[in-house]
Amino acid sequence: MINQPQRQARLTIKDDLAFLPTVQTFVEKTALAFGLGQTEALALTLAGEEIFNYLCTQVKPEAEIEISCYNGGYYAALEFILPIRNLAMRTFNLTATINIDDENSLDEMGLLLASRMVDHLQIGQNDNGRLQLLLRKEKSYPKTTATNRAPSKPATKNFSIITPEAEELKFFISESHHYTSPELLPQEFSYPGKIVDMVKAGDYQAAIVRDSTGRIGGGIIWYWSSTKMVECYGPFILADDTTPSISPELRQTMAEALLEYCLNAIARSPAVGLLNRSPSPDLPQHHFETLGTVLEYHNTSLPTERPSLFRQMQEDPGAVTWTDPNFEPFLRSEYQRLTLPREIRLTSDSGENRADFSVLASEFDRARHKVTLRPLWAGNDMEKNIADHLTLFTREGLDNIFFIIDLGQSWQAAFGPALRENSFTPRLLLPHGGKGDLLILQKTEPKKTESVS
Amino acid sequence: MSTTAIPLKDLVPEYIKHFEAYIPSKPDDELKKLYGCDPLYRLNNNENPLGPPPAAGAVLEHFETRKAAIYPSGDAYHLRQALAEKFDMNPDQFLIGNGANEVIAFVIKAFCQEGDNIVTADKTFAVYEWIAEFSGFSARLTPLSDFGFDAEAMLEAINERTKILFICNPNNPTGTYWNREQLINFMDQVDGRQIVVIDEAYCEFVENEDFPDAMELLHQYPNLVVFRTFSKMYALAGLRIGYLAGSLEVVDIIRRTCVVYSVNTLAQSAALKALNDDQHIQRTRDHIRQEKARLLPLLEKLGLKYQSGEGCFVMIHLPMSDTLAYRKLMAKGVMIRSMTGFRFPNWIRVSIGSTKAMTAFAQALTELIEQQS
Repeated sequence: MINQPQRQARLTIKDDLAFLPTVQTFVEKTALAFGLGQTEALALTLAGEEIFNYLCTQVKPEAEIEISCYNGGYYAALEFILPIRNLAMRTFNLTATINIDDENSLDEMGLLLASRMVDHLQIGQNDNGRLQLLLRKEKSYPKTTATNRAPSKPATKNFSIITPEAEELKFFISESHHYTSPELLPQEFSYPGKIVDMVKAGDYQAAIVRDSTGRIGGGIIWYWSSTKMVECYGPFILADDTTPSISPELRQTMAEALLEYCLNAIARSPAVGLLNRSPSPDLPQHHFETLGTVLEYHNTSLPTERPSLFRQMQEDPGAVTWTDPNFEPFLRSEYQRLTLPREIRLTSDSGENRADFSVLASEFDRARHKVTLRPLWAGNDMEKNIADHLTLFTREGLDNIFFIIDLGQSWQAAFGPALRENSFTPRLLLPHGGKGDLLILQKTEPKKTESVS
Repeated sequence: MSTTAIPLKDLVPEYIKHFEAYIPSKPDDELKKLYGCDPLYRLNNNENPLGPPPAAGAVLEHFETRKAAIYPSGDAYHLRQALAEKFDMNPDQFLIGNGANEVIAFVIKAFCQEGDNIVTADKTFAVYEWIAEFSGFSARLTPLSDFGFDAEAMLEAINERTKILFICNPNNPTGTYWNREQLINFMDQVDGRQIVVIDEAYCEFVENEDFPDAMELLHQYPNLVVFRTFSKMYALAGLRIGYLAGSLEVVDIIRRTCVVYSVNTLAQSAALKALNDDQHIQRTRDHIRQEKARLLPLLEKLGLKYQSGEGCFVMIHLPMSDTLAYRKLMAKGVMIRSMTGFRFPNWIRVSIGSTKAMTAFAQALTELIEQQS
């Protein structure tokens, strides 16, 4: 999601390969002007080139493509938008133009090539129902060197919660490495400068504990992960168990104050919930409910079982849930456990006509070896389409594969049998995360796991 | 038929794009089905369990159906006359609205233009902030001090674009209030530079003698506007009727933004009969006092922190998410107000309802806390 880009440049162009140099120049010059380094700007240009090339071969002649480049502060984003009427819906599928059984053909797949060059690629429909391809390339930042420093002195009980200045925020981020297990810290915490830019861009918000002497005692970061959901990292308190001047009570008071600051900041907003996917030991858990766990696969080591904690920000108004019977037992059990009032409606295939081809939107997060699929269209080939995507992701080394179904949209329930056949398991429910609740399924392998609490 | 997509991105103002519509709770029959509970006790809206004063109730019972075909008095003529008589003021010093929420909108529309702001507290009745923001004006919020409005912080928050200061007295949801001396001191410091709104929606519940009657200060402070409602003490919430009072010159300005004919005949007639029923006020106060006397010891026994001030409600701090508590209490047939939206996470507000409803609440809350520990 692009959050109020600071600057934007736009190019509207016909889908004619003759314009390729124009697109290249536009992307490269804009990316450099937006502060990307030469290497990153080149990568974004190459990715843009692949996308434009791909669209020219897929889109009906004379279609108009809108290309925008955004300055997100810590990244530059490139967006391609075009009306759906100008292309076959299947074009949304990553696997649309390749022979999945032929490894060489993968390298001819423009979308896939583009995804390898950027940090984030999203293919889907925008709010106006048009095809949107969004690529994001981040600036490079120096990694924190805080681990080489002696830990700071802890804050005292005369503290307040404030919005930090840039240097204070960097200090908090760097210091948090002294006191928190690495697996509980988000990857961005390795790059304090990036966090500062993310806050400046309005993508992240931050609060810290600062005492009357100016010492920083901890902090919390939060951000909008969708138009309805806020996620938070922390609170992280800058003290360990052996720090004599900070009692468990003071530590708890600081953590509570940080979380309440975050909650109050989003209290009268469109946020329906606050989610924490990496609960820190300092997180005041009584504010939350456990939604479930997801498995986090790493390249070589065992997957980690990571709990997701959640709290609703608003009173639950109840909802209708549409599901394939396969997921009914999971849903009933979860709704009962979470005391969520839901009317479950089961769907079935009654032989009605369906499109020949299904369509899936993909969202890549290569840094986390993660990809998320969302249904855009149900069709007769759902099982094969998902299987093809899985083959592709496996070859790309993406271990963390998720599929999100919006239970408020009845047509999405048709994907149930295909998901079961492709070994997707329901992991957690996100109340009111979409039009209805979101059911998050994960492609799981029968491997041993480690748990993180 | 047009096939062009509506260009909402261009049509909708930025401040509306970022604003979320308030979704009221579903009707009781739907909620009972969803949560599988029956009966359902509503203790979420600070309604008066005794119902309207008898004379107002009689108006409702004997309403002549033919009157439904006739427009109401466009400016609630008779009700304004009665208010003028009660408060010894000019009828033109009153404006009647479709609930007090409507008069909040009248005042903001009358005084604010692009770039202006209002000042109020962060943890108070949300509608001042909402109406300002969805009208394109910013709300400068000041933290409460010891659960009460902080006069100094509000004065500091004023800038050259501040037009209105909103004070809820007593405050919903904390029940704290400014006494006469505090209010006068504040008005003196504002010194007529901004409009000061004192929302007295719950004033009839206050028994303490130092509670100020802002109506009495109107002649002294022409920039003062007082809000009152028939929804709470007079139990006419279903009819939606409230009013504001101010100096002639200020009300004359506000009247220009006032929607006439927005208050129906039934509401005007019932309010007219309710206005002078002091016995009803006494009965209600007695009931609230008795029920609070039953509730507060239970909260002590359960080890729960609470905030009980003036008004027909009590705030309770829970050792769990208030939105989770809302669902669990709903499943037990009791509806309270979760307070995250008031920026009091893990607090709930319970309205003082009938003795039967309060007994059900006490039982449900006890079970909830016992299950939790």
